[in-house]
Amino acid sequence: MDKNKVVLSIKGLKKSFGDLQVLKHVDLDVHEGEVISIIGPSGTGKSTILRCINYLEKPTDGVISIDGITVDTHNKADKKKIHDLRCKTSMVFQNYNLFKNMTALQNVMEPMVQVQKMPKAEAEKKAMELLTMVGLAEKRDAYPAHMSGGQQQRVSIARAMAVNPKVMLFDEPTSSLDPELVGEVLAVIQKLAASHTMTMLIVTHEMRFAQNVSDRILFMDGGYILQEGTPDEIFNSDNERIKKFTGLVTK
Amino acid sequence: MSTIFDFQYFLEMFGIIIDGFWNSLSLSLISLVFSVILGFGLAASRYYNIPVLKQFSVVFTSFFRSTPFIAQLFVFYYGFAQFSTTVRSMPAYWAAVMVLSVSFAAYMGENIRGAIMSVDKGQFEAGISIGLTPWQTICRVVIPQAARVAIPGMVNSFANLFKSTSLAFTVGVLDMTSAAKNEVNLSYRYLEGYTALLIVYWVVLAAIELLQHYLEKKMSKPYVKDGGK
Repeated sequence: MDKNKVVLSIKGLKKSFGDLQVLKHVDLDVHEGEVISIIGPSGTGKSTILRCINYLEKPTDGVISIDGITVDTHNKADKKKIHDLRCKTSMVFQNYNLFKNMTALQNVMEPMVQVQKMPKAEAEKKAMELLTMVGLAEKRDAYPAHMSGGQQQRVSIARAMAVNPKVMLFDEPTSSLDPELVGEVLAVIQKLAASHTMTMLIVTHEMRFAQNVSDRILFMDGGYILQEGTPDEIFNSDNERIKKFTGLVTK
Repeated sequence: MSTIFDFQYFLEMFGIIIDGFWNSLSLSLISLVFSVILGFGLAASRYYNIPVLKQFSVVFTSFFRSTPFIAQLFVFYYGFAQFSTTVRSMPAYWAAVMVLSVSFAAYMGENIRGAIMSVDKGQFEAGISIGLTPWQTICRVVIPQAARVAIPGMVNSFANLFKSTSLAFTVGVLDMTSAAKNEVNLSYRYLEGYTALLIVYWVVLAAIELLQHYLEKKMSKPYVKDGGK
């Protein structure tokens, strides 16, 4: 683990949906092991950044490099390269998106068996370690429909780790959860963040959480990064816009 | 013709209908396979917005759903035969398979398209986000989930397909209906003959209905709350 190594680099990222320009210009370097939270009002492009990083959305403009794989929007990106880029990241979705036709164990094994071509027995062993880590070993044979939202999200974190990514992307991981289930999911992410073995980008509205786990916080507004800095710098910002936002949501 | 309903003759009819039964069954099963394959193509071209193929699929589906099967069969078997030696030399059985397959592909395509649309887009995104290729995601995640949704509609279409094989007798295929028809034309025992015929259709489709219920129950287990217990 090299703290000075840039593992993810975004240059001049822009994204429009039709006439609506969601991301106007974003530059970002993320170092290995760094935990970054992205906060800000809704509709300012926070999720879109994550979705562009793994090409779930094709950026309108910009260059994305992760661990030696560079995809430039203007060079007609071949499928192979986009696939390689995706394999460097994994995503935890707001709606969990566990595969509904697979058990918890099968969900976690899927990237190891189908993508990494790991032997089944080995994949099962690793998947069980990951399920144990998120505290759900006993749910190995449960289908998503048989688990609570919090449990599903914890399994999806285990699945995202099974990808063995360079960067984990969390897209509002607690926004769909009942308030009383938020804690268990945040605890798992917090544990992961505290280990500083994984580079993480977290879009969240949980301010207290962002303040606690992040090395750096980006405040997004209107398609730009309005300010970035340590949690202290952001939560004690002089900027009126940021003051208003953090004041409102932490109250 | 002393009795209104000659029960003995009614029972004998089943033996006669069996002569055409295997043709009816094989016609419907072969056409089922082709119509599902074609239906996948139609559904995929619309779902994935493939230019030209998509428009073709829309027109194709509209045409075959809105015109009677028997007229389609006649246009192909008698109409095309006027200029095509291939059609003229084609056995009636295979002509029926072709028209059944194409005609029912329109229905199968819509069943499949509806089922694919019912799968949340997030499932596909999750698949590619963990590094599966789009094709792997479709095969391992989307289709297994869509299959469950597609089953009732597909069984329904198959029931119609199976019954439509009875129209193949109009071009000279010896199916169950023509076996019954040929017999009662000689005996004039229409009531016994055709009642026996209806019962055979019913029994076959009732068996398929049972299979459908079994499959639905089995496949919905992962998706319903108490199904895991």
